[in-house]
Parts: sequence; C-alpha cells; structure tokens
Amino acid sequence: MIGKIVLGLLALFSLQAVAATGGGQDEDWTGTPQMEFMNSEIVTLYQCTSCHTIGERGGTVGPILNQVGTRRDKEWLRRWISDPQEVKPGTKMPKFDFTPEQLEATVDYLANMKTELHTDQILAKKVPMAEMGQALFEDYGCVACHRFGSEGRFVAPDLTWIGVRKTEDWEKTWLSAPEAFKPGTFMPNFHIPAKGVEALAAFLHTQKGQHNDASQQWEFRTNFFLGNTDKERGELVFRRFGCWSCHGESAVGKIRNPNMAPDETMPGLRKATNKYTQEQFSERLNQVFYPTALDESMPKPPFYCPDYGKYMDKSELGDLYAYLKSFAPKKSKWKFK
Amino acid sequence: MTKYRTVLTSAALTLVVLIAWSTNGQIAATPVRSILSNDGSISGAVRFPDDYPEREKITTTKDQAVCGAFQYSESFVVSEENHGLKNVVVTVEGAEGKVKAGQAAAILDQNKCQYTPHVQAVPVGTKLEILNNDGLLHNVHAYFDGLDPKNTVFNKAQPKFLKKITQTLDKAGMYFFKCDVHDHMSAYIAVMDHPYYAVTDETGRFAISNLPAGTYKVKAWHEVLGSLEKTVIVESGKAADANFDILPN
Ligand code: HEC
Ligand code: HEC
Ligand code: HEC
Ligand SMILES: [Cu+2]
Repeated sequence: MIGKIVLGLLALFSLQAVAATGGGQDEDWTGTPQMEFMNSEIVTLYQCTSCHTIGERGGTVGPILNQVGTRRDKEWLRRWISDPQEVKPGTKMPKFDFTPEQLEATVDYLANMKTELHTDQILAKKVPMAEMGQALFEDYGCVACHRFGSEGRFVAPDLTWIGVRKTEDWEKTWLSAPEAFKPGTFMPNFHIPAKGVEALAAFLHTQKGQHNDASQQWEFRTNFFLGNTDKERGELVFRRFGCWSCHGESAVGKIRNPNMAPDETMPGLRKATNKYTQEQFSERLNQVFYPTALDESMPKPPFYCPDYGKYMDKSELGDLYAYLKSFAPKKSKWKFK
Repeated sequence: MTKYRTVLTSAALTLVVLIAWSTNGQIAATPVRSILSNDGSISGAVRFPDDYPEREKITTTKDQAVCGAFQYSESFVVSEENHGLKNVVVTVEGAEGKVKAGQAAAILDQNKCQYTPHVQAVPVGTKLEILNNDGLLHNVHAYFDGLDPKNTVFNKAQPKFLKKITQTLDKAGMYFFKCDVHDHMSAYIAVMDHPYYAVTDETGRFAISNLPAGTYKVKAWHEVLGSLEKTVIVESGKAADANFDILPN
C-alpha cells in the first residue's frame, strides 16, 4: 500500500503521463486490499478476473476495479453485486448466486479497494487549470472505464478526442452530476468540488487527439476482439473518435440531445451509407453540423456533430465508411433458393 | 509480478447476424385439415451446391488450456458427403397441435468453451439444464429475439465449481445464448408452441411427422441465411418433400 501511495505521489508531482491501466508497470501490490481480494475465495472461485483487472491482472471486459471503493459506496455495491441486471439492464456482468455472507464479504473487499484521493493538494497547486485537471483525471482513475490514449477500458466512451466533440460547458454540467443529465447512467458521481470540475473540464477540452497513440492500435484491437479488415478498423475509428457517444453503441442512435428537432434524439448511422456516398460522407465530416432547435426560446441543443473529418486521414475515413456500410442490409455470400 | 493477459484475439470472429425470428407463426394459408388422422409427414434436406463454404477457424488466446488455440465456427457446418447444412430449424407454420407437456430436460453443455448443441428446438415450458464441466467461469447470457442488450432474459455466472444451472424456457420464440467471457461462444434454442418442427442433422436432413393432411407453409431458418418459406401439400398417410437449396448470392 505504502509503495502504491509513494508511486501515486511521484506520478502526481511530475504531472505527466496519464494513469496507467490501474497502476504503474512495476507496481508492488503485495499486502494491498487489491491483493487481498485477488487471493480471496471470492476471486479464486468465482473468477471475477475473467473480465476485471485487479492489481495488474485480469480481463478487459469490465472496469478496472483497483479504485472501485473510491467511486462506489457499499449500498451501491450491494445492489450491483446482488443483481447487475436490475441496475443496468443488459449488462455483460452476470448475476452470481452468493450467500448473504459471500455478498457482504464481496462488498467489503470492493469497498476497501480504494486509493487515497489528493484532491485538495492538487487544487492548491499553482499550475494551469488543464494541468490540474490532468492530475485529477489520474487521481480519480477515470481510465478504469474510459479509454484514453493507450490506456483504459471500453466500458465508457474514449476520451482521447473529447475536446472536439463536446463543449466545455457541457463537460462541466456532466462532471458535476452525471445522473442529473442522464438518469440511470453508469458513470458514478465523484462529488468533485466546483474548482475540480472546472479543472477537469479544462483538461478534457484540450483533448484533441494529442494522446492518440497509433503505435498502440494493434494491441488495442486484439484487446477488444477486432481484426484487421476495413470494417473492423472502421469500428475502431468509430470508438476512438467517440462517434458512439452520440450515435449510439454500434451506431443504433437513440441518444438524447435535449431540445433537438424533431424528437430530441440523435440519429443512428446504420443507414448513413445509403444516404451519403463516400465523398459526401467525408465532406460532411469536415464541417460542424449544429442541429435545429425544437423550441427557439429554450437553450440550444448541447450536442452538435463535430468536424472530425479534419482530424482523420483518408484511410480512417474509408474504414469508417466501410464499418457503417456493414450495417446496410447484408448480402451474405449465400442465400436460400 | 508476472503480468498475464487474458485476451481473446479473434480476427476471424464475425459477429453473428441475428435474423429476427418471426414469433407469430400463422401465415396466410390456413391448413385444411383432414378429419381422419395425423399420419402425414414432411421430410427433406437443406443443401449447398458443389462449391460450399469451409468451416472458419476462430483464434482464441484466452483460457487456451481449456478452450484450445482455435475453434471452428459453427455457422456453416456442411456435410462433405451430400453438402447438407446442419443446424437449420425447420418448422411447419400454421399447424395446430399441443406441445407435449412433462418432457425431459433439454441440455446445453459448455464444453471446451463451445456450446453443444449449437442449435436445438424444444417445446415451450422445457426445463433447460446448462452444464459446465470446463473448470472455469462462463457466464450464460440469454437473449430473446435477437442480440441486443435490451433483449436480455437472464445473465448468470456459472463459476468453475457450478456444474449445472436449471432454467425454464417459458416463451415461444428464439433464444440466443452468449458468453461474455469467451466472445466466440454462441447457441440458439428455438422454443416451439406446437410439435411440428425439426433441426437438420449432419447431412442437412430433417423429418416432421404426425401431421394432419393439409396445405402448409414450411419455414427453414438459419443463423446466417435467415429464413425462407415454402408451400407444401401434405396428404394423409404420405410423406411430402420439402427441399431447400442454397445458392451463391
Ligand atoms: C462476464 C464479465 C464479468 C464478470 C465475470 C464480472 N464482471 Fe463485474 N462488470 C462487468 C462489466 C461489463 C461491468 C460494467 C458494467 C457495464 O458496462 O455493463 C462490471 C462492473 C462491475 C462493478 C462496478 C465497477 C465500477 O467501476 O463501478 C463491480 C464492483 C464489479 N463489476 C464487480 C465484479 C465482481 C466482484 C465479480 C466477480 C464476483 C465480477 N464483477 C465479475 C463484467 C463482469
Ligand atoms: C464506472 C465507470 C466510469 C468511470 C470510473 C468514469 N466514467 Fe465517465 N462515463 C462513464 C459512462 C458509462 C459514460 C457514458 C455515459 C452514458 O452513456 O451513460 C461516461 C461518460 C463520460 C463523459 C462524456 C463522454 C462523451 O463522449 O460524451 C465524460 C466527459 C466523462 N465520462 C468523464 C469522466 C471522468 C473525468 C472520469 C473520472 C473523474 C470518469 N468519466 C470516470 C463511465 C465512467
Ligand atoms: C457530440 C455528438 C456527436 C458526435 C460525437 C458525432 N456526431 Fe454525428 N451527428 C450529431 C448530431 C446532433 C447530428 C444531427 C445533426 C443534424 O441535424 O444535421 C449528427 C449527424 C450525423 C450524420 C448525418 C446523419 C443523417 O442521417 O443524415 C452523420 C453521417 C454523422 N453524424 C456522422 C458522425 C461520425 C462518423 C461521427 C464520428 C466520427 C460523429 N458523427 C460524431 C452529433 C454527433
Ligand atoms: Cu465462456
């Protein structure tokens, strides 16, 4: 634990590279609550590590759990472990048939897996807001769920390009209370102080791909089950650039954009290739599209379609198009006569 | 500390297209039933031409000790002998008949990170026994009517020591099973509210018996090919033919 804190502080003071996958490479987890859980009967028998990383080991399907006690309270954890489908219908996390004792033990282990936050120290530093925000981002362990640069998981939208797609104002609204903007969201409320929200938003708003790490893309694809066809590379582009945060997981749409005409929901893109040729599509992505407001007297819809095309090269645009095209009514190689 | 990765590469992993299963069976042609007896039948085969697809290989790099280094895709299992296609669900639409109550349990076995059988059809109300002898965690994520998170029926962990989970299939329609730990694992169970159905065998053949004479729509459904219906006239005491040919698109 001490080792972890020392390392944490080192990382903090140098204010460098953003959090690694739940800790530095050579981190010593001996004697930590994370290791205690790792060696417990719960993990050895029920293999939570098939999907979750604890310490440095485990799968990539779910969030990294090392800091879960920092962001979730016992009551939430009890509800989640008792029946994940109740909290988030359709989740990949299965229900485990625990005895009440096992349930409590699991909740205790999870609640204990926390790291000390350094919010006050960070906010007291005399550094630019964005730099402060980066330190907070690291301290809160946002990459437990979010992909960022070459770190993190795909449980939540990739934040590498967040600065292009969302306004700083909206980011503040979101970070102050995610559930107020989107009831039922899986993003926890970190109860970040107002200045911290400012700092985080300032940091996020500067994220326009400078942490994009092309050299990591291959490892990344294998981690997330993606092969190397145009379509699969396109899916990666779709995820990396965060198209799915507005156009929905696998482009199905149905994401809310308050006061957007006609029905306050952003379009899915599964038929976009019927509507746009490859050129039209690339052209469209080169400019910002602001949606029409439903009611002019109300605040404008917070989300617009960003000019992502400017940040993509030709092959990325082509792959993206191929990905969306794969949803158009499929021609299988074979058919029934 | 040694760092191990539990990662599954699956370059060849193609997301199975779930074709909506029409749950409402009644199609235009109402069967004209013979007052005599249920002694007609329908049989046939689902076949590829000479040039047929080979089984795809899916690379696995997670839990290889149990799952093996690769798996064969089960979407096209074609007989070398007659090019028949396995795992096609054939149903007689619009036939009336009671499902047999109190049948034996159906089995869905998780064996070396693969579900067996890959496709089966059972009467509504059947108890399903889900087995796990792999000695590792699988999660049994069941969907009804298509792979969409909102269609989740249940999602249960089956840890390495839990050899059996029992679940009742109480809705007629298509259930789809998937493991979120091992992305390539998938299975289908067609749950039927009448007794006139079959699943094609290794040679693509099927037979449906005890049908009253009449004119029926016979539907073939396959996980990749979708479905096709044919009109078939069944005469009392006779076997009617229903063959489904597959062609290049
Ligand atoms: C089949 C994969 C899978 C398995 C096995 C699994 N989980 Fe999860 N878990 C997830 C996913 C996915 C999420 C995120 C929810 C979502 O996105 O749907 C999650 C979320 C969580 C969370 C909330 C994390 C957070 O940051 O808020 C906790 C706590 C958790 N799981 C604990 C466990 C424990 C304890 C076990 C073992 C007893 C376990 N999980 C087994 C997939 C899994
Ligand atoms: C337990 C998982 C989890 C953690 C930890 C988490 N988030 Fe999120 N976050 C989500 C999810 C899920 C969404 C998507 C919102 C939705 O659809 O409900 C999201 C959305 C966002 C968005 C909007 C993204 C977009 O593309 O529009 C931002 C910004 C964000 N989170 C920032 C953060 C920051 C900063 C932290 C750390 C302080 C953090 N998140 C930690 C789960 C998480
Ligand atoms: C911050 C939210 C947001 C993000 C991120 C976003 N879009 Fe959009 N997109 C929108 C909105 C809102 C509209 C509707 C705008 C309008 O009315 O023209 C839209 C419309 C579109 C359309 C036109 C759809 C149609 O039916 O005509 C396409 C194509 C499109 N987006 C592609 C993309 C791609 C590709 C990405 C990722 C590279 C992306 N968008 C990222 C918000 C977003
Ligand atoms: Cu499995």
